[in-house]
Amino acid sequence: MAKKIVCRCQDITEEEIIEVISSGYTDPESLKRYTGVSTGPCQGKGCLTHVIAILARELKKKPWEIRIPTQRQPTKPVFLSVLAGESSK
Amino acid sequence: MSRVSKKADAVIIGGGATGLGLAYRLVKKGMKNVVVFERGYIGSGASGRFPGGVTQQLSTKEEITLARNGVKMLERLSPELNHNIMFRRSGSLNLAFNEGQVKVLEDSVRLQNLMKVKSRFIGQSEVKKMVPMLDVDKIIGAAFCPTDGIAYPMALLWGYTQAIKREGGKIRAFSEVKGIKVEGGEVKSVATDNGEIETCIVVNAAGACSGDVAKMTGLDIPNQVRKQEFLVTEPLSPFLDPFILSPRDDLWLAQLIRGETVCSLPSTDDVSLNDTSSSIEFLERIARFLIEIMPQFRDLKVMRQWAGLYDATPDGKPVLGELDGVKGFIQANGFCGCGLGLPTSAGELLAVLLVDGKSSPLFKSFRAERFFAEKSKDTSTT
Repeated sequence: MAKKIVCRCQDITEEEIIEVISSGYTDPESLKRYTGVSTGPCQGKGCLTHVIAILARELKKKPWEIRIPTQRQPTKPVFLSVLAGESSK
Repeated sequence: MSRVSKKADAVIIGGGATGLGLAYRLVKKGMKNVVVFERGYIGSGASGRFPGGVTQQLSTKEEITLARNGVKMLERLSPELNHNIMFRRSGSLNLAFNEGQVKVLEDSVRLQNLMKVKSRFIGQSEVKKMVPMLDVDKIIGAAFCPTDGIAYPMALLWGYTQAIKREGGKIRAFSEVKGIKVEGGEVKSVATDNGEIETCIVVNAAGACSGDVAKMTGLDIPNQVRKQEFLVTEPLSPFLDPFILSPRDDLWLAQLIRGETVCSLPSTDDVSLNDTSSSIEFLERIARFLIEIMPQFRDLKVMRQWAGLYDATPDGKPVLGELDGVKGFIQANGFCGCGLGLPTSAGELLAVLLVDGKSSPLFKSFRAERFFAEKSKDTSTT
């Protein structure tokens, strides 16, 4: 079967996520830190819904019963020059 | 959820580098019935929020000794735990911008050398060679410690967790301690949101919550909560080997093995417990500092920011050992954000104390009573 890529930033497959869940990393905060999903430039916008769906299926829960990891600022990557008050990019 | 067993040889409060490190040393020494309680997920306190620097560039003999032993232990832990804690011997640089800072760093280096840590002071040109991206116009030198390193703290905690469980210890994540029962000056039991558990040893390894945990026994420790803010940039190919501390601005930065750069500063917020919110003020402040020392950083993007809380003591040294007044109530806190080395070796010292009954001479300078003694002296002279 072809690989199903869940997290494109960190190149993580569905198979890998299922393996980590079955090793006991079942809360979304630990799963995020163990696999690296949602820690790349997209910060979860491309992968978190898939991760939640996989977690729900594996834990036999409803997706809305899974608490998503804390969302961090900024909403998209920002140049340090902009933050330092230099000319905007 | 399974009920906790009714009795334990030791209950450890806090599932971070300190609590799990100690639990691991205890089960390895044969004290099997150890239970660790963690309110959130494993590493949800300071351990998982700090980037995992291990420094021996400290300024008291006792702390340098703890850190030096801690580095040696961390270097061996990956094979020992059968889990890659991603420890990398990166080295560390403490930057100096003026002669006053040079003198402070040279004094520390002398003390570190005395304690057999091979740090040295290096000049501007050597700093530039080591980190070409640094703008050394304003930097006149740096203290360099080649044996410092960085580990991935979460990997360390997961490695501990698996090893503790293999040896028969128990870890209760998402489980909160509600109270500690003390009778006749001795610890009797711990109340949790999952039932009560009898024990004669309770270890306070609760980091920023250590003060609150101590109050459960009616005692006060002088630990204060501090807040640190962090950012991580998008990944780059390797450009920065040592991690860098700039004592002038309290700026800390390191490139991690995934290529991202983690940078941090102490927060200027009022500290209230559980407030781990992050601020735009921090991003603006740190952006200016970073561009000043590494101008190419202006073209680097910030991916994410967060904050973490830790506990600090008035003299900057940890609080370790049994507290006078409550037998069996052991402190393992107040690590002051000095890195992973201190809690790692403190765990070994405490395990030797609790299992073998042997007290290290180092404990003398880490006992909480040092603060109370000063206090009573102060009041008697005024």
